[in-house]
Amino acid sequence: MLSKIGDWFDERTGYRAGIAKALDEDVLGGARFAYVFGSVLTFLLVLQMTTGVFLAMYYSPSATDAWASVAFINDQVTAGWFVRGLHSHGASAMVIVAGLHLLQTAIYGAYKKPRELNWIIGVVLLGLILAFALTGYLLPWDQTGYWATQVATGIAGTSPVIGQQVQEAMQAGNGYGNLTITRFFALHVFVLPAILIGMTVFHIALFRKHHQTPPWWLDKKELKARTQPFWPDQMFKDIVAMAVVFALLIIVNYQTGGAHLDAPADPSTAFDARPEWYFRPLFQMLKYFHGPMEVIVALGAPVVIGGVLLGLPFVDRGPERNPMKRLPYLAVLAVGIVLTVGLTLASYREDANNPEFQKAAKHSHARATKARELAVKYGVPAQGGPAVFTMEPGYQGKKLFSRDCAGCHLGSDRKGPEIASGYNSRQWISDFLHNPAADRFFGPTKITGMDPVTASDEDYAALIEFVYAQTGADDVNVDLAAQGNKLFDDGDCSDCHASDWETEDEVGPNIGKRGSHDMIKQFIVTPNHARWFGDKNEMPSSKGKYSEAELDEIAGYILGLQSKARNSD
Amino acid sequence: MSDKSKEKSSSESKARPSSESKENSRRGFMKTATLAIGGVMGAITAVPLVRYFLHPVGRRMVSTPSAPIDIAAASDIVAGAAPVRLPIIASGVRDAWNTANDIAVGSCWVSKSEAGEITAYSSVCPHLGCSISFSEKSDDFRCPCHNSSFNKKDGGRNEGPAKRGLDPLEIKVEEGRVKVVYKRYRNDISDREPV
Repeated sequence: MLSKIGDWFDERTGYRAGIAKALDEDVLGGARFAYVFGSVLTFLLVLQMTTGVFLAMYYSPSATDAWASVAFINDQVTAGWFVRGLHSHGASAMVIVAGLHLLQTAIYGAYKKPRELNWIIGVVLLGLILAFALTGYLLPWDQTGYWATQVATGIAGTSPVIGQQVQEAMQAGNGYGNLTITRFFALHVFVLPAILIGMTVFHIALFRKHHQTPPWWLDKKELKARTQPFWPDQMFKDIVAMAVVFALLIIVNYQTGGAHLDAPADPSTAFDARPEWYFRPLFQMLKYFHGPMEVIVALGAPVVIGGVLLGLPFVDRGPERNPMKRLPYLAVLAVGIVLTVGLTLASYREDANNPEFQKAAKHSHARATKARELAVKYGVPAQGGPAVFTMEPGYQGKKLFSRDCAGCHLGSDRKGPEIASGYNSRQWISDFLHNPAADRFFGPTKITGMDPVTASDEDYAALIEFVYAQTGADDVNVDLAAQGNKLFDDGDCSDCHASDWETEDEVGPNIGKRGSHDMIKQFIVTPNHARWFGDKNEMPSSKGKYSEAELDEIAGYILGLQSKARNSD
Repeated sequence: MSDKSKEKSSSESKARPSSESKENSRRGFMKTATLAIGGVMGAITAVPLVRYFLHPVGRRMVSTPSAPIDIAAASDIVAGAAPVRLPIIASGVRDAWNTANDIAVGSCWVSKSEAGEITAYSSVCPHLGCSISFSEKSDDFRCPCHNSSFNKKDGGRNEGPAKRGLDPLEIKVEEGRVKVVYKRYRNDISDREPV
């Protein structure tokens, strides 16, 4: 049945002959692991294209949505972290394998006549891979990508004469925004792939025309004698190499938990930008050059590297392919490699020995974790990535408190009691009852009437629990609080204080529901209410100033302080 | 691989049938192994990709709070008048990665009987989801896509390809405000199956 379907298609397409032709190639001198790099690169390219298409199913290229959509892929979509991790680490793998491919062909002298053009295409393909990396790095619109890419477009901006125009063309306008990301996205997923695929086809076609460059140490007769067919001899070695690279990729992906995602890009924050590891040498090099040299090096280095590679076949022109006899030419590559590795190591070592950077990195990591947690839990507000931080419960309340309340209730210039972490906790109540006139409490106010409470430890605990119970906390010891209530009513407390919420105009404030959500809201609006401080109140009324929702936010924030340890902010 | 075996492996060699059959079985193994390794790699990639692709299936990717949504003041709806289309604006919408406030999620046709009872029908056509309009001329609900028409009184189907009448939405009148419980149902079946 299957063969009949096959026959039907073969009669109409001739696919069998096509496949046979594609696989039928003699490998002069026999199959070798040295030849696997091109195939592995093709495999990685297919993997990148596949994962890339799948990422695009969830990715949204806009300055407000990009980070949120990537965080969604990474933290919510089934296997999303895995797909994104494969794509990100796959990019690194492509850079590494492309480097190895270049080295192998250089050592074998594969750039020599008649293969010069294919070498040139290979160098251009390497440049394209780096262009993919550069454009892809920005797409998550996270802190790392945002700031590192600023450096790249900034360098372009230093170009002589047309610098500003080049930079504006790259980032699409005067600064980073929606157009930057749509432009980078279009380059990354449409323009670069089209060029890359086209050139790869050309590269492979030329390779098939000239065949692989055989070992230099075998003469013609020996090469012929050892010849093996591409299928399956070389293909088997190729797929073994692909499997090894793929396995490594998956291991690295699992080990790292997928690709890194920083907090959403935020132009208002400080961030220590670092490029991807393969741009580290260029990044590091810029530290050593200042003034006019900086521009020359920043723009010149890629030109020099590209120029050396492109020029190699035209300088090393003889038929000699033995590397030992081409040492001066290969030495140029060796120096390049040593410089690259050296600069990369220097860059990482500098960061490792820089406590400031380490501290900043730790802070960024914590911020990223927080942002991603909030994104999963509440979603990202439509105004953009950094707005995810406003979703944190109490955020609005904290903002309002900082703006309107902190002036009098925080810091050394306070005019009222301190409202900070631990406010209205058992410890706070205990501290207060022991010394109401302390600077933390009524010290800065005109309220002086209350004496420290004296009682046995046991009674103290009961009284604290009773006062604590007024806040509506959910971990109240009800029996202890009832005991405290009795002490309150029977003892001195009730001489000055009511505890029923309704009673007004006592000597001291009514402590009913004191510190509860409702009480805080009402107190903010009418602090001079006869239920509380009446004439003795110094706090300005906020009647009409806040919406109900804002009052809820402020009260929520103040109530949230209760469960925090003192001085934890 | 030793040089010896390489020497024997010339594809054009026709001598020594025993070494040729050895060579053939070696190549046979390589062919099978290549396909097997390729297949395993394909499967390792395909399984997560399929799961990734199907992630939204059966999940609420767009969701709104379940609380009834305020659409109008009860007094603004005139008793006995023709139905009016009112937008349903959710206080908060979660759409995949986004959360946004005050987002229109749909609309409904609202009317008040002479007795003061308020009814609302989803404006989503139960046939294939086009937006229902109200025809003053024929005094009934009409779908502009495939000409289904629906009774003004109870939303029942008059004619056309729709398999059921308009979907009524639950109404709550609280403190003079009309609130609607917004729901969507599966298209083109006679029962109402929430989606």
